[in-house]
Amino acid sequence: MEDLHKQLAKIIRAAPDDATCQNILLALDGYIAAQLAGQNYQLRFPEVAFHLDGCLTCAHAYARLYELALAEAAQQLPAPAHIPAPNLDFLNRETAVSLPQLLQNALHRTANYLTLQLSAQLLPLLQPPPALALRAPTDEGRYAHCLLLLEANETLPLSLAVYQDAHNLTNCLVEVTLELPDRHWPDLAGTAVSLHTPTHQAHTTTDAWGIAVFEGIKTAELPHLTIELTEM
Amino acid sequence: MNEENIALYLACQSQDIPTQTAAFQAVWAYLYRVALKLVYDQPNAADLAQDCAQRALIRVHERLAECQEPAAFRAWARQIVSHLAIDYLRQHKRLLPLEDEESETAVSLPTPIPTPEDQTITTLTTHELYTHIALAPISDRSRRVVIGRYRDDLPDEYLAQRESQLTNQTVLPSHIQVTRAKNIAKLRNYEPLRQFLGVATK
Repeated sequence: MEDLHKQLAKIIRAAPDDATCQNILLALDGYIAAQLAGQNYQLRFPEVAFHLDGCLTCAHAYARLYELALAEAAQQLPAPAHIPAPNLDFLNRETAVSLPQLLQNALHRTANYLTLQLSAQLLPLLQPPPALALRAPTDEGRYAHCLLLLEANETLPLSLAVYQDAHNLTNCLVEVTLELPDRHWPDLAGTAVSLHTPTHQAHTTTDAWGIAVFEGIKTAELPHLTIELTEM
Repeated sequence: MNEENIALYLACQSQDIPTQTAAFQAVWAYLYRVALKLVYDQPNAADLAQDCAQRALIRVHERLAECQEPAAFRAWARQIVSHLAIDYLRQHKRLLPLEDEESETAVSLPTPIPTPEDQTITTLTTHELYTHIALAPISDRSRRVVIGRYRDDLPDEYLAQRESQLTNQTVLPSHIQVTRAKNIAKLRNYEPLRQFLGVATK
């Protein structure tokens, strides 16, 4: 309690300088998120709380951002009758390419070795149709939402499915299924599969159904995902 | 909502022109509404919102790879437009209503009282501090929100609820914060309190 009295005396004695304001403004999003989550935000962010009491400009900035957050949470953002059109000239206008063309570039194959390299161009074309592929029910719906789906075809001997991790929304599960015309269950076991992203490498082998599963993959790194299969 | 965010994030990166265009138009509509909420009281609110949202849209496009959590894509885009709008208002000194701007200017004139490193506040001086605040020429609500926070350690949510009940009007925690900042600025210019704090530093 004595600390609060000292802080009040300090705040009354001198107004804060402008240099502090910019850092405080950057911290306001976290401060307000903690406030709306019912946390003890003034204790968690004491430097922000005391600065807002001492700087009327930042207090007004906080008020605008707080009331914005409240409005959004209540789905009460302004709904003007007319929203002007944006200027989209800045968008990349390279020639659009098709999925088969992109897959052709993404796939590299030798006799016993296959690499599939995903890219930012390819991902949006792999989003599944509304009837989503569901994982086996044993994971209790943790991986219920399919983010990406790539079906096998005559040039691609595997299918790829990516599922959002409901327990950690920044992560996903990648499932690779080997699909060969001349091999079936249980003879699909034992093929080595590797997965690479900028921050992660994992290795496993396919099971009797030809399935290899990788958990804990960062969704943001999917554009840089590489799958390698050997000894097919 | 998370799935929608991820889908929108990926669609913004699409090389398929109709897909990417539709995605950025969806982001635009959201950014415009957020910007309009932040600048609602400005004389040229619609134009200002359009300008902030347009700059934010370009920045979203340029910095897409920096979005660490595609599941929170809208929140990330909202931060971008919010910072642009608040920065604009701050740089053009349009964050404060006119009457607050005048009082803010007034309290910057007195020289700040120096604080010795080893200064402590005893129980006696704490009592005197709040006695001065009780006598200062500020409104009763102002007094309640300053004392409520610093003497009684009450959160703004509680103070807002109490003021709402007292006035039979909706008072938000953000109103409490602005009221407190405004009146601490006034207290800086209240001579008996300035003298008291000057005595306490000796």
